Amino acid sequence: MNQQEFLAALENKLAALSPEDREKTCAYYAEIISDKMDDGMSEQDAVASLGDVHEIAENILKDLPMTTLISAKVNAQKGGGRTALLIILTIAGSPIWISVLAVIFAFYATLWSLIVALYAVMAGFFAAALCGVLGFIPLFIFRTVPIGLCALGAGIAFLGLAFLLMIASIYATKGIIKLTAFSWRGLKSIFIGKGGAKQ
Amino acid sequence: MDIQLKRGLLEACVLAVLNTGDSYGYQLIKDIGECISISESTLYPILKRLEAAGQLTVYTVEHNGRLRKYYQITPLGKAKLSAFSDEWKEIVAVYEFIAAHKEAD
Repeated sequence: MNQQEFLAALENKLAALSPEDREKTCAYYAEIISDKMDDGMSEQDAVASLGDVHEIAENILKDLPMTTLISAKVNAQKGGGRTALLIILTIAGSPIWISVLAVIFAFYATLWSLIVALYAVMAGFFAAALCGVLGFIPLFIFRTVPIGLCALGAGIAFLGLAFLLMIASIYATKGIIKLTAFSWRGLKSIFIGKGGAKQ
Repeated sequence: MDIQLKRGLLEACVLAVLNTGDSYGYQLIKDIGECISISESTLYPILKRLEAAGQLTVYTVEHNGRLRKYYQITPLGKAKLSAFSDEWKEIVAVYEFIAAHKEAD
């Protein structure tokens, strides 16, 4: 690939950028290639040393906000108008996006309801512990000593279980938050990708 | 190395190099490459961020019949650089604490 082909491919892939940003990015890479050639590299080597042009473009696009990516996609398809209706139509009109979003939504809904359930069980355990620990005094006084001691023991056991569950819940929540951040970036590639690599 | 950590370090490296004088893209990559590997496509977003944050300014110079962009550190960039040095002292102190406790283990 020579310099011209590289820059043409880059410009083509960066259609989502504003014309100014696109020109700036291309100028930056053109300058680097020229400087490498001044340094004694051949044109082919200088271009090759930059790495894969599709990967470069993709990383630049991933730094853009989601809304810019979507509206660029809309403009590319409908040629200009960027009304909210068109954006919704583009998203709704694509069966792939809908099913991908539905799967992702279902996946997280399931995970989060599991987490909510975990916290609910934990709250139940805390409540049981409270009853046992506080309830043992009246049981002690008005009933027999063994019943009181039994309630106290059960209360303390529930307290221990509740703390163990709390630790588990916190780890599970953190894990899901990390996973969300990770797949959000992956989700962006739906709006970037599509046929880029074939061009 | 952790991506966020490396990004922060590279920003400081760019500012540190520019603190010794104005420079351009390819030269920055060569200078910083002495201590940490950096690719052209890693440098670009860093320069963009530093420019947007007002920590460096850009001007164009003609060189061999073409244009070359030079980057110049601003007072804000210098302030950021010295803040980085201060922060780093704290990090070194934490590191020494960790290293000392690891040895005692």
